[in-house]
Amino acid sequence: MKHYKIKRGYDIPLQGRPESRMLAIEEPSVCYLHPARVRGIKARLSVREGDSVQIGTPVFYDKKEPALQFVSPCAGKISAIQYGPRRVIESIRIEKNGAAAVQHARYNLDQIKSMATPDLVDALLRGGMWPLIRQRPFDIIARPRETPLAVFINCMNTAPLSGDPEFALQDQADFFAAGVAAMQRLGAKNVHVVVNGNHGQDSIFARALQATDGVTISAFSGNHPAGLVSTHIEKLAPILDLGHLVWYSTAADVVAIGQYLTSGTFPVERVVALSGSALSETGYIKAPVGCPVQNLIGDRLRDGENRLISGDVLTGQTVSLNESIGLYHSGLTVIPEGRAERFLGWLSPGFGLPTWSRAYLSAFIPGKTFAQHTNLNGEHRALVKTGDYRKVCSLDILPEQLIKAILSEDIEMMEQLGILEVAPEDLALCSYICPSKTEFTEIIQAGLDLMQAELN
Amino acid sequence: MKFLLNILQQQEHLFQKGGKLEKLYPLYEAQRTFLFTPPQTTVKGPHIRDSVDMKRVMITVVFALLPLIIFSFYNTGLQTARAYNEVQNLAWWQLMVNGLLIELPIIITSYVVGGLWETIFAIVRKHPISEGFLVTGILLPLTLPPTVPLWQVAMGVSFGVVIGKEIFGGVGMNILNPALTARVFLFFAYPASMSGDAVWIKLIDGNHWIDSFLYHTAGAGLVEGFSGATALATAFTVPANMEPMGIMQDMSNFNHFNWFTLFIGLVPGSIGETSAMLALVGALILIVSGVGSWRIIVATIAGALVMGFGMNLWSNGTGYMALPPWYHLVMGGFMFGAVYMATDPVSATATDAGKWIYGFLIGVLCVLIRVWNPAYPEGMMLAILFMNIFAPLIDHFVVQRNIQRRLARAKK
Repeated sequence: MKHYKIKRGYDIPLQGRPESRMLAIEEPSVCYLHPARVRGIKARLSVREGDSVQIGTPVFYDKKEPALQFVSPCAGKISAIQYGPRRVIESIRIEKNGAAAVQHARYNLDQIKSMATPDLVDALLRGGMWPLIRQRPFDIIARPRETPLAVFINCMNTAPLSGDPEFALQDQADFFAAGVAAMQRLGAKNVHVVVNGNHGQDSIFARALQATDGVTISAFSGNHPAGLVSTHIEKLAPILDLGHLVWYSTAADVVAIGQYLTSGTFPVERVVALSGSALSETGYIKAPVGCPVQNLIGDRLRDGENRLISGDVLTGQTVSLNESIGLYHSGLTVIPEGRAERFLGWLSPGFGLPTWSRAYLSAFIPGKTFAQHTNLNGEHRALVKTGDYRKVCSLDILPEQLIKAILSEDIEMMEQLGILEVAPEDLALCSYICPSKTEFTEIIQAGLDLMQAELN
Repeated sequence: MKFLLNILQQQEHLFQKGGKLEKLYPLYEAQRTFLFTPPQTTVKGPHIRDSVDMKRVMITVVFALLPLIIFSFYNTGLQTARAYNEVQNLAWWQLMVNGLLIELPIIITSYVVGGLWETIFAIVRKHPISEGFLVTGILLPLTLPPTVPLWQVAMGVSFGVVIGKEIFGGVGMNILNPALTARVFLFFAYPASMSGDAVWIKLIDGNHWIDSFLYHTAGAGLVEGFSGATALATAFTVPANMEPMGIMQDMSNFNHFNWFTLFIGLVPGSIGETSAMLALVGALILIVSGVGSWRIIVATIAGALVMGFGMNLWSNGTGYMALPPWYHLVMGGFMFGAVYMATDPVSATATDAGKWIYGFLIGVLCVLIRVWNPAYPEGMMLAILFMNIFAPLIDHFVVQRNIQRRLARAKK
């Protein structure tokens, strides 16, 4: 197993890490779907308000690719459909009733290993599992009729306050192996599994694949973003032009694919990590897909104004109590909002102010952690400080020059500077440390959209 | 401090859209965010952000300048007292007060006039008043001689802020260092006030009420053999056939020039540039806090040393070219420029490799202009401005190298 040490990056010292224990929740009586949040598709409904659905019934699909279906994670009745501006479908509310499920074909491990690629693709599309396979460049859902050069399975998560897949998926080894076997049948030349370098050979994922061959297992270690898939791709199968297509999934996604193929029904449970300093207890929850945030949190919310974030604090999305967490998110982070105005704050020595730089004295207290809140900590200004962004970016790119190329809509320059290699999450730390509060993630997303528009 | 915040919050409606003083919103906003950190939370992108903002970055530079500024009060007073052989009659704090009284009007003029221009541009362009001015406003006075007339300070800072920064789009958009742009404007527009031997030491005007208040022997005569020449001016006049250290020694009877006095900085010169030692203390603060680039500082020093040694080799032991290179580091505004001016992140190169090249060439050019150019004793200001113009070109080549690396990976 090859071990890669990532030297650049930063682990934000935050309080509220998810403790290694399982928490109980109150079973929800509803579930939610949010089509508007799935990027890169134009969602169209397959159902209407009042329809009855089973687990696995298609609920919406992509207008541009009708075979790409999204299915219901619970059985019951569609009780409400909420629309947003420009008729986007913001949320679909399903009232639970029973557990009837659509039954598709089941496969055992040997059958999966010898499946033909078109059959596998059809099985995944029918089951509503295809959205779990994403592609680079552009970080959108993979297109079913294409063939990637490589497939990556990311078993690491280094984002701040994120759950550890090694704990969350510890009793899913068989399903993981089945899922990996399926990923091997997608037609790619190489399948890479990346595990956390802190575990290496002892990783539950590495051990699950001891009997599997044809898969390259690598270990990565270092500060965030060592766990991001772009970091792995750059080292193992670099994307250099538009012809280099790479597909990827997280370990949790692959476990879900394994569960689906083995049982023939949509897997309704996922492990969600609960973290953040605004919660009185943190841990992991085996929650039904589409579970409302209200049920996940229960009564663990501390007093005060708080922000509920689906995903991690760097790339996550704000959610409310009666929404579910995102399709690709395996965690819910809750942190306090920060609207306090401090007198002459910027002149203070700053022993309690979290900072990556050393301009506040908190940097000289070793091991200090912070219950960081959501204050912008400044105002938006023009880019002034140079040279720091590379230090928190693990890729060999020039972040400032890249975003300047995007802002000036210079397509050629963008491509030369590596827009095809990045996703917004790779430069989230650059936005974190920036004194001018530049929105790197937004600009990268705009750049990716521009490139895609240019190609169509 | 809640009462202050309450007062500000009550005033807010006057400055918002539709309010009477809507146009003056940048002024209100600058005042409010000066006193209190803004309440805005993150709306897009990462939900949490680093505590360091532009204000903190700029004030860290001012912190790094403080030792130098306090020293300059003492030094300016000292130089004047020496000219009248009054040093033994005055306590150290009296010298500091003298220096303060000489320098404060210059500093205040710089901040007020510059701040006025910043406010006008902020109101007309409808953007917040930028914090960059906190640094530019103090950097300019430190490069001026203590005898500079206040109206020239006002002219200079106006030129620097408007032409050097605002017409390019404000902080973050300028090509040239604004403080140096102001300085170079004054240098070429009013050369008599900016150079020569008469400007570096503030002499007493017997009719001026402050002078009578400060010096109990106002009207006392200048000391025998008084010379207001700086070390740089002295080195400049070294004849080609004379050993340079000889000339430096000659002058040292009055001005005590040797490497150590030059390093500590108790010599005449521009207000803030004399002490190389305290500039290095400032460098330490800037580097430790992460606000200043150590690459630029080290590269600038290296460039000067390399060029100086090169010249030593080419000379035949006499003339300015034979001056040992470490003297260049402590004479004139070299260290001050290397630490505070060259490191301005907006006008310097953005890439790490670029910073090495940029700093090195500044050091080389500074020594080159000092020794070979017959018109200007000081080369640092011009060297930095010249490299400011070339910084984008240097960055272009570094960026191209990153692109070539990417293409080479593709070919493999």
